[in-house]
Amino acid sequence: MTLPVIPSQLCTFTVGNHHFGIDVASVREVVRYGIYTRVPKAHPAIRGLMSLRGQVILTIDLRILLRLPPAPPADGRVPLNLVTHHGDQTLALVADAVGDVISPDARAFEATPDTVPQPLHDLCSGVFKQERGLILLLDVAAAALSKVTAA
Amino acid sequence: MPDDDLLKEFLVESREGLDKLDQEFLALEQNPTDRGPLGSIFRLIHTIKGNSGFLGLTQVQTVAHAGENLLSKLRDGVFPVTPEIANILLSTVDSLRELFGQLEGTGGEGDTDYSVLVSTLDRLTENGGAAPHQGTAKATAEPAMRPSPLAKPTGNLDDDLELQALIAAANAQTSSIPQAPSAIDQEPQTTFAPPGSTALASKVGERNPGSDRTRAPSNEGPIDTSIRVDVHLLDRLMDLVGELVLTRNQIIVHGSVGDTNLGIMVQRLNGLTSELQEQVMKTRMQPVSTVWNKIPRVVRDISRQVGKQARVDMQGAGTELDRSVLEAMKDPLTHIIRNSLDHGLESPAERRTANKPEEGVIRLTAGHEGGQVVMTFSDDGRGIDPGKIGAKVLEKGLIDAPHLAKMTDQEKIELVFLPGFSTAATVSSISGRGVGMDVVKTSIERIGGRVALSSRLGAGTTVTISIPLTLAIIPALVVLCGGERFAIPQISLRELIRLETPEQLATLEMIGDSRFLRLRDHLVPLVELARILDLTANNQGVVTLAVLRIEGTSFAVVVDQVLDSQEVVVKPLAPQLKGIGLYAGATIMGDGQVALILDVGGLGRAGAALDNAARAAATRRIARSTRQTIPLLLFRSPDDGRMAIPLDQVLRIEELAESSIELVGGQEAIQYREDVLPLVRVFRHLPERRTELRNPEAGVAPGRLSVIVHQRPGPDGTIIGLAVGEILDTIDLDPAERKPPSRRGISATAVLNGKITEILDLDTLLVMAWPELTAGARP
Repeated sequence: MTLPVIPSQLCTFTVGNHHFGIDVASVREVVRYGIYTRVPKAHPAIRGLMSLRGQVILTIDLRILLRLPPAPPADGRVPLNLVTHHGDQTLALVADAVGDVISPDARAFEATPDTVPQPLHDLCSGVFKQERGLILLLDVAAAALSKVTAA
Repeated sequence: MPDDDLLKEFLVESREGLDKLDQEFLALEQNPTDRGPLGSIFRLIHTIKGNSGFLGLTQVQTVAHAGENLLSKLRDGVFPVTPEIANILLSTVDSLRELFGQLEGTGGEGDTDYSVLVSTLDRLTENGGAAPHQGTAKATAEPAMRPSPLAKPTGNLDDDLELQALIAAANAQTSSIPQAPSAIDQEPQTTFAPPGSTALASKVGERNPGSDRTRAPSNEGPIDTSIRVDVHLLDRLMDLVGELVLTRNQIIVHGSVGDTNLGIMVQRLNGLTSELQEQVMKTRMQPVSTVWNKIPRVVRDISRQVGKQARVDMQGAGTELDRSVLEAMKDPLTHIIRNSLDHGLESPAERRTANKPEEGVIRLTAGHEGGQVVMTFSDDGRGIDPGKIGAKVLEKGLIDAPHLAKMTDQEKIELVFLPGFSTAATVSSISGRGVGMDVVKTSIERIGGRVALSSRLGAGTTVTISIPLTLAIIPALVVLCGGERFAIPQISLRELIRLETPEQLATLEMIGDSRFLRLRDHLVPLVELARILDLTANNQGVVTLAVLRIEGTSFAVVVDQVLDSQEVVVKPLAPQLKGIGLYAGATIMGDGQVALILDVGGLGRAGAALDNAARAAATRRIARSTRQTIPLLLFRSPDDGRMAIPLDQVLRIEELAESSIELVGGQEAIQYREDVLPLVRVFRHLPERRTELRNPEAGVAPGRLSVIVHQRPGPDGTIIGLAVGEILDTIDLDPAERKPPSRRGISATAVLNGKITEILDLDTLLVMAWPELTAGARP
């Protein structure tokens, strides 16, 4: 396994009780938007397609990808979409909340420990040890692999 | 090593120049005395020489220099252009291309030796080759002998108008107006410009390859007003304009209330947005000449190779098409031209015998017709012989004799579109490798176009291609299913049907567990969109059907509701969704939401897999049903005989691949829906008695099996596959018409549709096939 490039700045966000980070350079914008066009027969984590200024963007629900239950109704606000670049594709990831942009200490970075359970483990390219808990570095490429459902 | 960016720019520019030169050379060959093409060829080679010297490319410089020397002599009229000189100039261009290819690939010039070429060029520069070739004399003499067709007084008002229209169109060279093709078709003999014709004839521009119209780009003018733009930038512009259109639509809704000043501004915004949208769309369009320009050279080279004489005649080269469509046209185009030259046109000797001019004509036309671009490619060759095609198809086993016998000449001609068809007696390097027209057909259909073929024996062949203007915007039908909106490309849509009353609903018919629509004596299989997409249909008992046709097959898609028909901007599908195979793209609707565009081909395939809709059964005529009759499923037996099986014994009709048959303990079986389907070859047990068995499963495409799936009555309900001939029809049998059985395994015979038909006695047949299976399971 190749070591990931450690980003100098992270955009942090939460899904369930996991804290994630993603390279700030790959984030195009964060929008609250909740109108998705469902794609029948697609992978269950594919929330649907949304239109953002004339672009059709595939939206992936991280909660489903992480096999977490849907967000509780009390949080029933308009979903938060992290619009990110992944290669040539623009992808949106649905998160629960977006935190700060932080500059982590590169020395605090290490490979994802084996104790991190699946499917979370495969979605991370490493972790940043913080004073309180871990920030998981999200592997967008792995999330983007949510292809057609086989069933 | 020259600077990278400079080198790249040099290569791009020079290549573009060389492409245009092909046209100039051919114009020159046709009219060796014309100084125009010589001038532009000279200028380009001169520029290449200069730039290559600056970049230190010695090989390029040496070749270009030698070429320039010869060209300057030609330009000054020191000696005329002979075929020898034309050939050497073409090789010069080819060598320069080779060198550019090297430079692009390796960054260096390579070590190919061009000294022979250079010395030939030098020799010709010295003496101009041998005495002027007789072809030159002939070409210059010809116009004097033939009166100029366009100058002749016609005295016919219509003709005059047509002539004026042609000249006007030729003058407006940059416009994309189609140029009255009918006018030209009427008088092909007299409107052709003979080589080296008069000024008037060449004024008709593009009709004569390499004349005014095609030369225009290499003159200085147009280059000054055009720039290179990255296509992605244009795509992004399209996106933004699309978004602007949506915002405008929303503003119109809000702006129409109250404030009149705002209303006026909204009106202006509206107009500007529409204009902007139109202009941005235009940036993606290119004239078909960008693809056609290569053809004269291809024709020249191939016709020499195969020892034929041909010239190209083009009309409507200014017709514009989306660049993505043009790109997709390139290969099919070359295939068609090659076919024409190799198979279509006769040798000069044959043409003389047939009282035709030795030189054949390949004619290309393009124009707009009903929102589409229609291109035709004709030759005046020998045409397609339906008899020969038939013989070939039989020999190759692509189709059987009874089938062929029923075909019209036109249907036979269209057999050349069958995969694996090739009529060339010998495989040549040009064509006849077993790929050809079927490839043309598939590539054109892939971009939403259609191909038609017409031919008259002895007079020539015409291929007509109609293609959408653009792939970026398509007319679509918007439907609702399970609460979701979907767009269906209009091009596949045949008709919309709404079934509401019991009588209307009675036109739906069940065969096994599949539903069919009885549509004007045809059975069209139903494909339920909700079922395919795992949605919940919501139609309140009304059946709304969109009858679609693709790849020669029709089926009716059941939707909840038809909403609208509109032009949609096609957005590419996310790679994550491509594997589903049901969507062709996405689009943004007027309310700013995304709708998926359905892939009609994928839908048909998914529908057939789900519903086991036998295509053969679907397209056959069905008889009127009457009360108190026994419905039968009719199929073909060897040598066009007829057999039938009671419809209530049919579970499903399948078309399966012969290759999927496996042998299980000496018994043929097919894996089928997570089950094993034992196979009974009906005609093996009930052979055709009159003639020798030639084609056991009559009328079925080679490699395919037509299988009737039958379920045994009783609790265990074993399924059995009956391999039969082509499924023809469902038909109702009046019990009174039943005649005694002809043999064991047959329960009765009857005359149906004027043919003696044997009705299977399935129980006996199965005992004949497997005594142990039926005896064991059913004592």
